[in-house]
Amino acid sequence: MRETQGIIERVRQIGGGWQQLELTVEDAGIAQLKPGQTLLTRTDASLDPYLRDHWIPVNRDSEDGTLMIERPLTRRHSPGDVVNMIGPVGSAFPLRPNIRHLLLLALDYAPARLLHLMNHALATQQASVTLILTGMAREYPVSNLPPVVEVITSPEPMMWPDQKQLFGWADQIFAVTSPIFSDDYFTTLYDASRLARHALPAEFLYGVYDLPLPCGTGACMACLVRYKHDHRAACVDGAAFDLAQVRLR
Amino acid sequence: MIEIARPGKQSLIIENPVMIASGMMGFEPSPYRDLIKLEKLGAMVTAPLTWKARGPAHGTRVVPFPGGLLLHTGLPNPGLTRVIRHYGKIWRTSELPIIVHLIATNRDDLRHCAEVLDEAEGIAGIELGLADQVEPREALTSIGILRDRSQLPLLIKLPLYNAPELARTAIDAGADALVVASPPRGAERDPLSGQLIGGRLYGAWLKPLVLRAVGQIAEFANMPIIACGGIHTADDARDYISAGAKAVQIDTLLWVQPSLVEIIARNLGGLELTREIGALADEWEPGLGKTQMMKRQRPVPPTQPPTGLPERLAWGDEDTESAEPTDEF
Repeated sequence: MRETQGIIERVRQIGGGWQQLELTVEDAGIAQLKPGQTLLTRTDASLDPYLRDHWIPVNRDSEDGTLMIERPLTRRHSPGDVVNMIGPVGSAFPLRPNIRHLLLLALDYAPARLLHLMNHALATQQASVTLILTGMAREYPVSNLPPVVEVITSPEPMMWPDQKQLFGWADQIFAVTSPIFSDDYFTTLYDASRLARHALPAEFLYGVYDLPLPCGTGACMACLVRYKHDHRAACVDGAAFDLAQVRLR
Repeated sequence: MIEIARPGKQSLIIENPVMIASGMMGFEPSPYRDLIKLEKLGAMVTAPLTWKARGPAHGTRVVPFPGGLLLHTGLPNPGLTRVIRHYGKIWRTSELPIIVHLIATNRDDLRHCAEVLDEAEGIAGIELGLADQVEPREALTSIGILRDRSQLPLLIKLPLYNAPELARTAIDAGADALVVASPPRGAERDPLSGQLIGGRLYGAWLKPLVLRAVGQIAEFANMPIIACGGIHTADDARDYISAGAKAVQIDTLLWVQPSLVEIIARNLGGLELTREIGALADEWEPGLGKTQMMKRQRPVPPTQPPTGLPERLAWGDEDTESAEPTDEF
């Protein structure tokens, strides 16, 4: 965990209440964020908002070292703005090597946490990626996504077309939902995947816990996720956890 | 060198008056090694510990509000013996003195904790956090148990709203230092779930409340006071020292702007006094900008005041500075 600063090079509104920020980061180590790792940022000296913003990279340009950040349009940013940041926060999402079929689920929640993984799987492993957007996630501007990604939408948070077939097709699944629904939705998802596949492979179904992170170092213990035998901090060991190991309802 | 516990066998001496409050750094300081220079700090207090393991709270644990945050973690910890087994070696070699924060649960658990801590190595002291609703008689018993069974310096962290009353109890029970105060409890609506959440409150707004309590307690306490609550600038920390505190504990500033913690520690540690004339700011205060690429310039000598003026006018009117400070507490 280090502190550094970055400069917003470009701001692009992508619709659906979202904006993309192209960010140049001073610390090359932080600029090399892996899929799943995030940043805690502050754009001015004011203590309002008090906690640091949680910035989620959706892509990384390895040539010029810029990060693409996706943020809701709740705050105005301009090119040239300097951003103080600490990171990297969390661990890389454990994508299987040589994965062929990747299923990403945004369950009634914005898919931003999954997009860096999606872009990484497409670029480095030429995987086939299917992205499911349910409930409120349908508002996400899909025209912004690479055309090779199959997008399936559904108004029901936990139901979508060809659900059983997709569970069988996928080599690995990553799902994200709102922190207030994560217990319920991940339990339902785990049960549904067990019904679809007789023997659930290890490290197959991951839940992404997008919890508020006051410290980002695991010190505050506000982002602990209950495992079967202990607890794990989403900001250190997560944010993706194997749902076979998580203590679900 | 600052003595933050009563002189004698149980004394505790730190090199800088700036400490890290309980729960802010977890169980050991290494996650912050790359964010701040740990050797500039005085000590750290661990996350709250109990004899038996405790799980995290269910539901929402963090609710931000303008100027602060509400935190309701449930004080999760794996239990004292497991923590000592896991972190004991790190504590023994830590550059920061480690003070273990205990929660006053029940008498038996406190007895076990005191005995185990007294035999453990690498622990500079014990900080006992008293519950908000604790009766003075109950506090007296809890402190007495630790006092009887442990030789370690004993710091008592007082709840804010009845801190002066409990301070007298802690003094009578044999505390070595008082920590003023635990963050107060409050409630706020969680914008995500729409539910009202109760928890401890943090933020810069807390400082005036704690400052008053520190001043009140300093009037009668014959032992070191460590102030804790809402410190976000070096001036905040100095206000506490002026009010009678011997050291300060920094809380959520460590999360929201970690580099400021080091600035405050350097500032209060006296490093400012030894600043070289002409030195660039970020050599002394990290995070203020990059200057290593800038060309150094020779320091410019200060301009001489014009001759022929009365000396007192050159340095300001002394009459305006002669007002005696009043005791607000």
